[in-house]
Amino acid sequence: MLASEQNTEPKTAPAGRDPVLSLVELRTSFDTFDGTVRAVDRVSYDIAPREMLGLVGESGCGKSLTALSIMGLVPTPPGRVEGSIRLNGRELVGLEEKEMRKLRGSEISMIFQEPMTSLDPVMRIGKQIVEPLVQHQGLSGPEARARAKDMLDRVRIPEATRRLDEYAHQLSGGMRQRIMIAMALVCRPAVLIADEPTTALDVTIQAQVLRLIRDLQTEMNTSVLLITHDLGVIAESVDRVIVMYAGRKVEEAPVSLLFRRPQHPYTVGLLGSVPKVNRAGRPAKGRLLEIPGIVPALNQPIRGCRFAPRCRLATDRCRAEEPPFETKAPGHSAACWHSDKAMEIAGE
Amino acid sequence: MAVHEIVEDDAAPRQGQSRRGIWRQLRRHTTVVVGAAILSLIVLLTLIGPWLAVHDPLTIDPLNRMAAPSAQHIFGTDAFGRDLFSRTIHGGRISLTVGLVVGVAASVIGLGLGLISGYSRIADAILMRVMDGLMSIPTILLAIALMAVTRASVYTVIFAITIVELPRVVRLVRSVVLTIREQAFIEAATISGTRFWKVLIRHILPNTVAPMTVQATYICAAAILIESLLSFLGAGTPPEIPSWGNIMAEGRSYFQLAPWIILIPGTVLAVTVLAINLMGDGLRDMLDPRLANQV
Amino acid sequence: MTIYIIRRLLATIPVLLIVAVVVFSILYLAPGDPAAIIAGDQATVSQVEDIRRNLGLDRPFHEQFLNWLGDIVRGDFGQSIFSNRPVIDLFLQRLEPTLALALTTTIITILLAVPLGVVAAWKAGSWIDRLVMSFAVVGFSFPVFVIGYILIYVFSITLGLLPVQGYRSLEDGFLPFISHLILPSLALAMSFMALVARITRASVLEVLAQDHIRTARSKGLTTGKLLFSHALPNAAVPIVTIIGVGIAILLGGVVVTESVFAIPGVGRLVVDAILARDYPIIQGVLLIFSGVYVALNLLLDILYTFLDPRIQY
Ligand SMILES: Nc1ncnc2c1ncn2[C@@H]1O[C@H](COP(=O)(O)OP(=O)(O)OP(=O)(O)O)[C@@H](O)[C@H]1O
Ligand code: SF4
Ligand SMILES: [Mg+2]
Repeated sequence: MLASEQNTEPKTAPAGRDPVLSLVELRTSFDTFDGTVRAVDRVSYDIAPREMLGLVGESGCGKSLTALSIMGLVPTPPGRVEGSIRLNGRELVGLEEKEMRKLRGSEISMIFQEPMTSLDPVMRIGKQIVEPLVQHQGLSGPEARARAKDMLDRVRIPEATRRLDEYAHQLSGGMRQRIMIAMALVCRPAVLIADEPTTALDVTIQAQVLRLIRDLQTEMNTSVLLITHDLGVIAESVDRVIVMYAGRKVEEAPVSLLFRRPQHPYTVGLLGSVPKVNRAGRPAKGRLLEIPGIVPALNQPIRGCRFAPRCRLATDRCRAEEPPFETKAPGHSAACWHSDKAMEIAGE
Repeated sequence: MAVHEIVEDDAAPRQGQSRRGIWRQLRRHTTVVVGAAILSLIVLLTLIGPWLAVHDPLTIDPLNRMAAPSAQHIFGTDAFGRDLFSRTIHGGRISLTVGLVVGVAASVIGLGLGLISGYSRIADAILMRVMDGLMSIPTILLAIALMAVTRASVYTVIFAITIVELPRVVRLVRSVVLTIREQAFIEAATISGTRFWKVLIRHILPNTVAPMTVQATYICAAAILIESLLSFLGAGTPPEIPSWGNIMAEGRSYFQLAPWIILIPGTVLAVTVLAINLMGDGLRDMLDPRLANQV
Repeated sequence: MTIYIIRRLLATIPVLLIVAVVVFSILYLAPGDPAAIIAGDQATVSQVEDIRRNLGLDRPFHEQFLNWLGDIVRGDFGQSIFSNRPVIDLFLQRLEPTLALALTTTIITILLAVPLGVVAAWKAGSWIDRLVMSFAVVGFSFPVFVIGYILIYVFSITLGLLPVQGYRSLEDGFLPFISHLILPSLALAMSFMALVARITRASVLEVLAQDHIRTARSKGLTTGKLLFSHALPNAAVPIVTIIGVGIAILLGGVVVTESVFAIPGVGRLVVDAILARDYPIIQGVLLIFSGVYVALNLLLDILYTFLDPRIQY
């Protein structure tokens, strides 16, 4: 289709810095009995060194799958990952599992949404933190343990030495998420992917954990891909934002521009569904789903703009042709035929 | 392998679900179908055997002792020259009968005891202790002991095996009764008299049928195995009756000369038990997928 | 913890008591008159009566039971009717081969079945998985003596690699010892392995779907570490439970296996006792085996606390 041609996407990463991680036309699909489900559809973006990039979108839009694709953790088959993922210039798509394994946990790490279940319940905390060191750096014994303790100090866990010998069930949710962060960063990876790291936590704890991620990012020179439902979290933490809808990237902008002048009706809708002041409490899960209408099935070819069935600005053109992803303002791009009118639907 | 939890969204069309469902059903059915097919074949053989087998299972032929399998005697002959094919078919009737009767008896008695246990706390306390005790005695040893003190006959074999298999059924029924009791629609305190019977017929029996069918199948297989073990040890069916265990027991002394006396009936026995177990597995998956990982 | 162990220990007492009642009643109800058997064919009626009185066989059931139980508690399991020797002596005399057989079988089972189950779970749906699971169903369907004879036929008679039957003590050297034990242990292990492999596969499969496995993968661990330091330890409790259940199969199977392989162990003692209707021996072995079974399962119960730190007593 024409779409791919039109999608020569402008690079929006801050100029002059080579990206640490670079996705070009990433597609992640699943072969199912009902045809191929394109869960991530030709998504491109870069993450610059020491940048914190936000990835937002409704449930099911492909955020986690993007992350898992980068990690090489999409089960294949039935999954299929195509396109290009470059980590410091090195191609990850099609990389042998053995090579990929060497990068996981050392060059690129991930933390997950569910701190309650993401730690091994029957292995001591210390051993779990040490594992990547043993695997990737060949450390062992007291040396590895010292590194683990140092990491616990960094994630501000009191009485670190004692905690090393405890089990996950002895810790609170916030502590477990800190442990996850410690474990992910222990080898000083170039990129940290945080998939909704605070969704399962209390509001006060959320803020602490976010601050911790931000502080460690600076401290350890790591780039972070922060995946979230929560535009409040985005507003507070990230430098730049990618908005995804039904497997596609629909908008990309520095955070301030995105909030001030969203160029895509979907983003406008997302922003509209967030309470004005985030301090009062994060939007409840599922709040973003309040934009009425149906998400298109991902197992069929989609004609035109995939947001059209839910878009109040949709015209015949929208339903016939997929809008190109193009620069609307410096550093700000979106895929919408009527982006100039996008703000009109805000506040309605 | 399941790295990412695969969530089936509402978006996933219905049609595909059912197509996948049929696939799954078919695969489950294959186990049952294969098991049932083999078993039917064996049952059929034992039923029409007397017309098929040209030889009498009890006729001794001193000139043809320990003949290797041949066109004349496809399973060979035993130490007395008796035709092993006829004997195996005949033995099948005994083994299958034992399996079937034990399966039914253990289920029925177990259902009764399990219900009593779920109904009365005092009875439960006593029954469960007794069942714990019975389960603490290794199955085969208990069966041997029971056989040692009774006169060997097909009936005592059935009795002994039923006793050793009973605790499993009682526990199963009891656990179903207890879960149902705990569910909202029955207040434990108000269970009494007529109400109990209503609950029993409307809720407890339907909920026990599926797991008990599966259990009965497994018990049937286990009973056939235990019968053969008992007979093999000389503590089972009286030796003059050619049950599978007895045929093999008689072959022990001649194993080096005539291994087929043990190996052929042994394989037939194993295939039978295998067929029943396959049916059990298939039934379990079909009737209650949640049970799939248990037992 | 100590309190828990004591509580569990106490809880086994009623179970063992029931076992004792069951075992005693079975043999109490046995037809035939033990006094007459002991007295022999030539005895007069009064001689038989004397023996009956001496043995306390004329007392009521509960008195006989309590006497018998008292003796058992003191370690006196009665005397063999035929050899007149204490049952416990006969038992201990036959213990070594049985112990050797049971131990090798358990070791074989754990070393083979657990890894097989883990690999089957990892490769769920593959041909390896199907092979392992088919083996599990088949292994569970063959009676132990048929497996025994098949093994003898293949390895001893046809290939001539291993001895057909018999037992050598470890004192005769390790090679003769183990070469006599391999086939019986394998035969006995078959159904045990089927059971353990099946449960291992099911529980590891369940663990593999858990979130922390994804975490472990995201750390770049090798498959081996993933399976054996994360998946398997998390699946340990059900596996250990099934091993406990399997011990019953083992203890029963010993009787049959020893009989097939002519191993002069406790199992043979029992079989000979059955044929001779030597009830005290049957009673004694039944009690001891049940006691061992209960004790081992108690041990495994305590082991759970070490396997899963979340289990607290
Ligand atoms: N194995 C699979 N087979 C088919 N479809 C899949 C599979 N795994 C994921 N999907 C589909 O991919 C889509 C994207 O899933 P993903 O987990 O990336 O969403 P998400 O944006 O992270 O949502 P959430 O906010 O709920 O975490 C979903 O619609 C899902 O149905
Ligand atoms: S392209 Fe049209 S339908 Fe799509 S978001 Fe823009 S206005 Fe709405
Ligand atoms: Mg997600």
